Amino acid sequence: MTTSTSASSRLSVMSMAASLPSVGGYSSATASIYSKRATTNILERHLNKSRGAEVSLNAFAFMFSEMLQYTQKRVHGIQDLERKLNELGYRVGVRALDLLVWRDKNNKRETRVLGMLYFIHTTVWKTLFGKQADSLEKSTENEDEYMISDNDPVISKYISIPKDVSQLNCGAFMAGIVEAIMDGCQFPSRVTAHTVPIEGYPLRTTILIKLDKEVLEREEQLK
Amino acid sequence: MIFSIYIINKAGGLVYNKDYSEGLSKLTSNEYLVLAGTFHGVHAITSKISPVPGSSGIEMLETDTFRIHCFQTLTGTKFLLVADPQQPSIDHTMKKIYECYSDYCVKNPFQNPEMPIRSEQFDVHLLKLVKSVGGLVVSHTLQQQQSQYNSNNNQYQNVQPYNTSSVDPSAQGSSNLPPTLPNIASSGLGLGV
Repeated sequence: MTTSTSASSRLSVMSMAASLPSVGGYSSATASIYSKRATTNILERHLNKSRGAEVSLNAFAFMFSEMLQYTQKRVHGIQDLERKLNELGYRVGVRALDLLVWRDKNNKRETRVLGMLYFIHTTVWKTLFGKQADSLEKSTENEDEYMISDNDPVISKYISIPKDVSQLNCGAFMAGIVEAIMDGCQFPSRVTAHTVPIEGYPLRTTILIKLDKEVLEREEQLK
Repeated sequence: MIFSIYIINKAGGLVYNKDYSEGLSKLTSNEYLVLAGTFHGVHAITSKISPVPGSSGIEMLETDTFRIHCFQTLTGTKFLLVADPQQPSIDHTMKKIYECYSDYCVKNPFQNPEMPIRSEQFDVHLLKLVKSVGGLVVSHTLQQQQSQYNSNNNQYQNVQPYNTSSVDPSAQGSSNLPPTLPNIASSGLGLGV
């Protein structure tokens, strides 16, 4: 998979280089319009600009649907499917974190659990889904558990889970993203997704974050 | 008033049927399949016998008490809308139904193309759509299902950010999923004519 994507991206880079005007061509008016068009190419776009860089929800829905169908053919059971989705999300999360840290203006590194979770709750959610998550809670029973809830997750907007796999939550993909971001910021944890419907929001998904022991120990020292 | 909606796949099999009005005489599930298959055949014949080349098939069938409107997508899926002769803006309704179908069936990874539609969200949104275009006489069963659907979700209270009264998702799990609306085209396919 990696080889094919890298090959195709290299291809597009090459074709782009061929289509770009030759050096010095930027001076003429027509060439500057031409080069402006060329900058709409995703590889040419400035990384800091997020406006207008949104992806069509329909395109995403179709791709996610294909991802699910592809994964479903290659797993045994729902647990396995969720694990696979988590892995796919992890790959997204690693990249998303890189981009977000690059874009983040205050250049701050989160060292506390709450700050980190708040970063995910607001910044990450806003970048990925165009809105903040709906709640961030701490478990009353377990010291090491936190929950981020989304009342209407974009990811499963068009998905209806059939009865025979009713335990499945496609939010496992989101959980994977969160896990990667937590891992990348040195907050190793286990992240899972659960469906917790409330009045008016039958698709409400809760991302459960279970922090590793070392994170809690460090948190104690920082107090 | 909209009486019923049927969806016929490109092979002429009924993949979805639902009634939205009370007091309609019911057919058996087999008769529904025959109806769909027959319409599929008639549609094909009408487009062939047309004196004008490249004509589409039957688009509307009118009687004193109802009209059957048919909309065929580019992929050959047919949407049948049984409605009152006075029902306005059928074209718009049809487009909305198609939109609903492409959103909640085509984009649903658990929905196999050309197979009977079992998509909870499709049911919910189609019901909402039919209600919005007016004239839905909510039948007893539908009302019951709807209230059951709502009460099932009542047990969870709204929680605010950063509060400590939290839910344990692992305990509640997904066993409390709302029930799907019933009366989806029960089964069977591929009844050609």
